[in-house]
Order: sequence, then structure tokens, then C-alpha cells
Amino acid sequence: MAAISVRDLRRTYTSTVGLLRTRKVSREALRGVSFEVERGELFGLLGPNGAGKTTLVKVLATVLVPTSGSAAVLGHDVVTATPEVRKRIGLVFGGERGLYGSISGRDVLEFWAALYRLPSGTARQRAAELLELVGLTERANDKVWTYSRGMKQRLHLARGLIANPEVLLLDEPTIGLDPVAAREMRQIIRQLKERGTTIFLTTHYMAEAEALCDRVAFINDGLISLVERPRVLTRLVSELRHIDAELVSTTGNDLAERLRGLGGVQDVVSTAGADGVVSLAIKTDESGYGPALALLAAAQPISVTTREPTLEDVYLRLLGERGMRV
Amino acid sequence: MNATLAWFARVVGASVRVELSKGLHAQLILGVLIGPVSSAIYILMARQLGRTDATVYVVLAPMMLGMWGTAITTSGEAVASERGEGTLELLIAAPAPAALVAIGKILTTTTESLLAVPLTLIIAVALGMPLAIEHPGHFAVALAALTLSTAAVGLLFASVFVLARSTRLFQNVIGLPLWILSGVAFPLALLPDSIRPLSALVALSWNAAVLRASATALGPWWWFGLGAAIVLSVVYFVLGARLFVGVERRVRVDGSLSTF
Repeated sequence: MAAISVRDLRRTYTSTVGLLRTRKVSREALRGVSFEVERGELFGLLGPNGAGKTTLVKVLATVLVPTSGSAAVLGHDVVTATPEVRKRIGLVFGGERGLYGSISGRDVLEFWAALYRLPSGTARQRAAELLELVGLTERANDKVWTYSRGMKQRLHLARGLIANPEVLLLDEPTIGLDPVAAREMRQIIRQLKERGTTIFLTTHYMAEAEALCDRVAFINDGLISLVERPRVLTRLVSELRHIDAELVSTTGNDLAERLRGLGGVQDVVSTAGADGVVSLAIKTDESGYGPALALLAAAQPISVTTREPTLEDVYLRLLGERGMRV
Repeated sequence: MNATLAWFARVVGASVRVELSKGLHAQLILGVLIGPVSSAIYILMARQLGRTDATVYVVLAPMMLGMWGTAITTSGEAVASERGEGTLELLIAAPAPAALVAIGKILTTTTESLLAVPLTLIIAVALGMPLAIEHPGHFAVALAALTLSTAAVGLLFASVFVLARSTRLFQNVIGLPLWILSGVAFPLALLPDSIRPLSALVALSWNAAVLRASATALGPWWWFGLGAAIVLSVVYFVLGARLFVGVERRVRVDGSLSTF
């Protein structure tokens, strides 16, 4: 049995507009989504803002009822078996909202433990363990509003884990975090995956999905376009080679034009820096790779690096310009 | 069943603890102060007019209105703050009924709003219009019944506030007709005949009658009045809890849980 099973899921939001002449306006947030997540899997859902990621998480968390189609968590339907689903999932939203700011981190966890039917003694013990897991033991008795954004997000995660859920739903858990805090959060998520927790993660950070997920799905305008392992997906764009170079501006600007004229070169993005340096980002197929490197070498660059295609390249290929507006 | 009830009690207790940890918030302080301050105004007006016979009305009416007003205001604010803090969706997604959390919050604020009682009585003494309570035992029982109905009406309105985007508008629209129907500030006999039967459905009208009688003279109907107030409070509680479940279902369908 799959941990999460979604079949032709649709969700439409309807609102009323106008003052005197009111009319109903509908917006389809999910337009027939289907996929499965295996037990113990870390599944990533990638997509720009407004693509339907949070709506999907809310349906799985029983906060929203689908308009049509079905979704089940560990075999329990999210509409007809709501209590069974609720006691098996942990839900974590990104950002600073979702916590009581005027009480301590420990009190937050013990409050939620009661809601998930943990006996008082177990709740205290579980809260202490989770505070340790997310590195908040020393600040456990401080009011939440004194926490940094990263600390609040870690407390969010601890709250979502309070009932030791079999399935954890993480909706953009690293959004707005600085790189260090985001890395810490990813380490904790990795630990949870190693413990066997099924994790459904939404994000628009490609590196995050690539580093963490067993499989990823791309969602855009309420439709899922691909579900695959990150490595398989990057192979889809592996025919493209990437070269990043830095040159002094006098040669850089001229070189960009010459590179664009080479056969096989598909894209050259030139960015001028404030210190008289021009950065070039070159995408080329195999036929243009050697000539492009030769041209760059002759221009005496400050630096040249080549890299393998990433999930971001897949993302941009699939979502195009919309993908940039994340 | 017993294990479930024990769990429900623990959820209510946890909600009370969270509410107490937050300390007295501005809405509650305002609510607690409204009763005594209003009493002071009415006492001074009554003294100027030489109406010492109106003591029981000018002292008790603002106090009761203050308590019910606080319940309606704080239940609305509680829902608005859960929505604002982003915890409302998480509460709905938790296994425990969200209504229990609301009950814990409302019980806490209702109990805290009892602070208005001694404050009002002290002000009455200070302004030279002390309220002599003839039957203190009955008065205490009547006060307990008032607390129960206050909490019940708070829950009833909290469920409506989950649905409403503008809780403040609803608070104001709902409060004023209730004050008239409750007959707290004047004898119900002054209401038009067509409206008066509606007062019987407002627990506060019975609370007011038994509380006033406890301070002055008990009538043979006192126990009936107390019973009516308690029965109506229980009806409000049950209705509020059922409404909460219905409202939860509706907001899950229309997706309005996190909208302001």
C-alpha cells in the first residue's frame, strides 16, 4: 500500500466579486493530479508560486476537501476517513506563522501533544526529545516571539513531529531561511528520512529537492508534468553542457557575441559586474562545447568552470519563463 | 468512552494553560473595565436623579453586559488571532476537535472576566450606592450560572466567527440586540409584547432576573429561573459544539479557513 495515493484530484476555489452585481468567479488550483508516494520515500513537489503545491498539501492534511478525485494517506481517504488520516500525519507550513508567539517553545509542543492524544508524561518526554533533535533545548523555556526565523521553523518541524507521524507533510519548510538555517533544516529532514518517515516536501528550491528527494514531481498551473528521480530528470537535459566564465569586460562583451555565433551554442547570458568583470553563462551541446572552451581559453579568462546539468535546468526547461518567477 | 472524555478534558486543560500563559490581553482588560466604568456612570446618573431604588439595575446591569460582551469579543478575537497566527488550519488538521480548544480559551477568558464583579461592587461602595446582597448564597449560585451561560454564548459565537471574515462587525451587530432582549438594564415588561417572548430564549435574561432577585428578594420562581438559565446554557453549548463541526466542514469545502 502506498503512503500517499492521489487520483485525478481537482480543487476549484469559488469566490464572489462585485458589490451590486455580484458574480461567482472560479479558479482551478488543481486540475486532475495523480501520483503515488511509497512508504519511507522522500517525495518532492516542485513548482512556482500559485502552481497548486500548498493546495495539494492542504487536501492531504484534510484541511481542504477536494472538488473531485480522491486522495488517501496510508490507505485512508482524506474525505471519508478524516480522523484516521489526522492521527497519522504531521503538517508543517513554512514561514513564521503557525506558532503561538507569547508562550514558550516547550509549551507549544506540549499543547500540540495534548491535541494528538499523547499522555502528559509522554508529551513532556517527546517535547524534550524533539527540542533536542531541532537544537532548541537551551531556548525551550523562552517565549517563541524571541526566536529567530530559523529557530521558529525548527520549532514548526518539532511540532509537526510531536505524534511521531508516519507521514510528514512539509510545505516549503526552508522558505525565507538564511543558508545556514536552511542547511540545518535539511539535515534534520534527512535524519527523519533515515528513520523511515515518509516525507512529502513542497519547495521551489531546486538544490533542496536535488539534495533530499528520492523522487520529484513538477507542478504548474495545477497539473503535474513529470514524476521521476532527480538523476533521471537531469539526464533529460544532459545533452546540454554548461560553462560559466569570468572575463575582464573589454574582452568579455566581444566574446559573448562570438560565442553566440558558434554552432551548437544555444544560449549565452552575459552579466556585467561592478568591478569591471563580465560573467558569461554558456549552454551548448556537445558540438559547440570544444570550440566554446577554445575561444574562452584564447581570451585569457579570469576563471572557467563547467558543470553537470541540475534539476534547475530541468525546471527551467519544463516551466520556461514562468519558472523564473518563483 | 471514558478515555475519550479524559482526552477531551486534557485538550481543554491544555488550551486553558496556553491561554493563561499568554497573560491578560488587551481585549479582556477592556472587557473587565467596561462593566465597572459603565456602572460608575449609571450610579452617578441615578444619584443625580435621586433614584436610589435603581441600585440593583445600575450596579448589576453593566457588570453582566460586561461579562457577556467580553465573552463575545474574546471569542471573536480568539478565532481572529488563531487565523492571524496561522494556527487555525493546524488546529483543524489535528485529531482533537477544534471546538475543545475554543472551549478552553473561552472558559479562561470567562473566568478572568469575573474580575469585573468585585471591581463593580467596590465602585458602587466608593460612589455611595452600595449594593446590599440579601441572599449571598443564592447570589453566588446565580453568579456561577452567569459564568456558565457566558462561556456557552462565547462558544456559540466562536463557531460563527470561524466562518466570518470580519469578526468585529459581527460582534457589534450581534451584541446590541442581545442586550435589549436580555432585559438586563430594564424590566422586560417594558419591551413590546411582540418581542418579549424572544427574551425567554436569551439565557442572560434569566441570569439577570435570578441575580437581581438574589440581591433583593427571592421569588417562588427563583429556582425555575436558575434552571432555565442553566438549560439554555447547555443548549448553547451543544448547539455551539455542533455548529463548530458544521462550520469546520463548510470551511474545508469553500477553502476560507485562512482568508481574512
